[in-house]
Amino acid sequence: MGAGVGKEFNNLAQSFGGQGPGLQGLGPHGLGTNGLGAHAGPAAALLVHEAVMRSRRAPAGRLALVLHLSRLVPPAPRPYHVRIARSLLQDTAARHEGQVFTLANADMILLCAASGSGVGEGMSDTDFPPASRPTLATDPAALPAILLRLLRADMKPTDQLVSLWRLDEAADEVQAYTRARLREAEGLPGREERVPARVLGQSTMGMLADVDIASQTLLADAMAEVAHQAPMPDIVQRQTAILLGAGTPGGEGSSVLRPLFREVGFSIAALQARLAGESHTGQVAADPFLFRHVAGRMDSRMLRELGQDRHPDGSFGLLDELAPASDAEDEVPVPPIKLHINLGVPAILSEMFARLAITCARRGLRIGVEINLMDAMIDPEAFARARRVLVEHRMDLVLDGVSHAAMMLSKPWKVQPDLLKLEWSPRILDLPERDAAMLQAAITQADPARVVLQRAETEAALRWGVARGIRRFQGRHVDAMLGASRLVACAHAGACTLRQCVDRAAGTGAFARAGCRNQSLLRRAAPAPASQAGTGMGTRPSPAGVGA
Amino acid sequence: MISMARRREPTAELVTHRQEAAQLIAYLHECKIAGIARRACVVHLARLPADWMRPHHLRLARDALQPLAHADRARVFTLPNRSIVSIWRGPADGAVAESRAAIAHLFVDGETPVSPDLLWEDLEIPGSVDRLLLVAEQSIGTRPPAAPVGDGGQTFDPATLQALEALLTRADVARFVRRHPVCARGPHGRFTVAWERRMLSIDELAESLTPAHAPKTDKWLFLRLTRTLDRRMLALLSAPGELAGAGPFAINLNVASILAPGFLRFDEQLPVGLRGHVTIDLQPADILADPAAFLFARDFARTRGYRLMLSDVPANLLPVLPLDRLGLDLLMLQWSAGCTRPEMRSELPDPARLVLSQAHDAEAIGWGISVGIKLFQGRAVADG
Repeated sequence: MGAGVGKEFNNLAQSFGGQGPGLQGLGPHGLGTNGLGAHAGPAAALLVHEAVMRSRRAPAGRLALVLHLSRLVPPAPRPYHVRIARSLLQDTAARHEGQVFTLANADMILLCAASGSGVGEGMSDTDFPPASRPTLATDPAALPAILLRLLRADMKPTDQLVSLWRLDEAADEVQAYTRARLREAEGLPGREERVPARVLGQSTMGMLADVDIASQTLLADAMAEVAHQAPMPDIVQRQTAILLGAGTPGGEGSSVLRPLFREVGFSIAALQARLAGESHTGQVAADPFLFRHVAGRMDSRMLRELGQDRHPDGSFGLLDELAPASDAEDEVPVPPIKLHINLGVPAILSEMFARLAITCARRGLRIGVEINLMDAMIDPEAFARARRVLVEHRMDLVLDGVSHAAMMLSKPWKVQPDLLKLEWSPRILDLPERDAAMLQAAITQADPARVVLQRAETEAALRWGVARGIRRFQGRHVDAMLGASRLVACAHAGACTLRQCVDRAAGTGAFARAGCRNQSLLRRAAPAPASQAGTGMGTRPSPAGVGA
Repeated sequence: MISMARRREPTAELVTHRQEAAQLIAYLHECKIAGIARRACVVHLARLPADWMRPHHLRLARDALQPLAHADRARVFTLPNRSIVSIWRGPADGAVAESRAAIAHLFVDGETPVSPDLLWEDLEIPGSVDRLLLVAEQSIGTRPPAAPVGDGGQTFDPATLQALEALLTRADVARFVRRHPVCARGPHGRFTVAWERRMLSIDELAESLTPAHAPKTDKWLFLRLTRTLDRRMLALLSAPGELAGAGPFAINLNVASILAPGFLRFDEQLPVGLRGHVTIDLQPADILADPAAFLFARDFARTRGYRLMLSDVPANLLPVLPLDRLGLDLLMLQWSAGCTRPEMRSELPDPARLVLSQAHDAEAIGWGISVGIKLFQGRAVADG
């Protein structure tokens, strides 16, 4: 799920390979096109196996290098990994009497002579200091280091990505590897190598192909149109972030699980579901620039809906629905949860936003605005103006969409956001020691008290964050924690499942919450602190009898 | 009859306000070209709820601005969205304070808890002329709110982008290539060309292919368009003989373009003597759009002997984008008044890795030299 325009993008971008322009299929040196002996696809397994067998007749001075692209962490290998790796290998093959084969599992194998010129042709020493002198990939012995450097961001440090064998010493190993690939190609399980099902179970070339850029632009238009026309409850979701307190459940002091803010945004999954008739809808989200454009167009719909106090029929507008200022059912007044909305910089500078700010101020609603890091980067001057606008309105500036890589490459906290949303990724757990230390240092500099770990989908994410001083979390795991806390406190929990409770909490319309018999608690996201529990709102003090 | 007159009245008023907006725009352009100094304020009545934008509110607001009407060369413009712009010459602090207080008294109360800062904006001409132009143009709908937000039409949309991308695949773009020298300051203060930035003039290209549209009005679609331009540029540079005898140069590329087949072809065709002398310029937003791809592209380009430069970095982004963290060779800093902030010096990377762009005058060059920068781009050094 994931409320917010920025939330589901990365997953989608990864799923669809992410990059725009390019060729379909094999790249610049497709099968048999360059006379260098490049082979690809299922038939390559047979060809490479035969080539190894031939090489065994005169193995002296011959090498076999296997680049295990199949071991990269998904969504890799992406089309560019394959394209560039093949280019590097072919460069070496051309200079060392070699051949390159691309196998069905995306691995590549280079068979070539061990010795050669090994010198980058035509290099000039005039401009580069020794430390940055370019090295051309012509020496087979230098290739593993180059490939590892290129691919380190997409591999697990513990995985062996390159195997380099001398045929006169390790021909058996090479042959075992190629035999395994041959068996796979013949539909038999290989014993020596683990090949991910994700690679074997589908058309490899299809998976590796670049996205179709021609249709992306029109799909972007279609998605923006849907966002403007569909009923808001159908396409908008909400998600509550929490502050993990230091207290204990039911104890004195702060609640262990305190709702921090509630983010409201378009659900890209819902929009894509409405575009189901269109093929390749994910390609819009896969292109970061098109996606930001679409997000910008959605902003006007969000602002229009939020700025509307009441509908023409007299019913309450979206703002009331999302952030009720008061709750008549409650005997114990609890301040409403702060509302967060995702907006681009141009939207914040618009008159529609100014009107929304006035509406919120008039009604005492607290708002935070989440701006994507890319939005801050593309027009820094406008971003600075937007920042001033938010300060004027006493609204929080939340920097959204900060990946761990962006956190290490840049210093996003220097734009001085009130909160910074760091995107959790399981990749964080696999970071090399140096990178992990760098990320830790970045969080410290950003101030853990300002960091929200978002996309916290698992307990591992929470544990990692807590170990680094982070106390603010948002994500599916948090949704489940909040849902469980509601079930514990709800007198009607016996009729509901945790999944139902979580889904209803994410809904933004009455229909989405239908079935809940404790709407007050659902709106609060979590039960009131222990000192207030049992005093009203249809809750019960004992967790006994919680529904499954 | 009465009802008809009532219906016509707002329309007539709107026409008048559109004319006033047009007059304001013309006046602002005149100030901009001639460098005329003025002071201005905007009373953003458009930000008030509809109930507060009745004709009598407008009259009251104009009355509140009366003290400013007596300032030197004072002019008042009411815009179609009911916001009011007042412009005058010289200091008028007393009148400003009086008018501002009157506006706050009229419109800031318990029912419309809008801060005076929101309703009132002080500006200076020519420094803030672009901001005033934006206010005026948005009020009459000739400019969308800086991006596709709002109810008005767009000047550049995905369909236009697709059409332009299709046109670009066939168009002869060679005539739109422009070269901008980056010059190094030598020991005797003389500037010599260190390398040339080769780029397609996008404004001219768009004017030629789609004159009704301005790609830069949508920054994201424009960025997307640059990928297509990258492909054409790389194809041009890969043409046989194109780079024969060429000196060091730089090209502006997207991360995705470095990883595309066109770059591999360009790399194959690069003359031996140029390898190690080509710089690739990258944009901040592009780098952060896909950090994993950036890291891969960065290391690949370096493997092939290219220098990498982070280009178009304004002063206020410098603390966010440390060169060492990004692992790039050079950073092109955009000259602006913001560069002269005292804290700027501590934010600068090694000056040997800096290029100062938009160095059009002596002030920029002087500042650059004072902080140790040796590479410059701009009109002030273009002639050597």
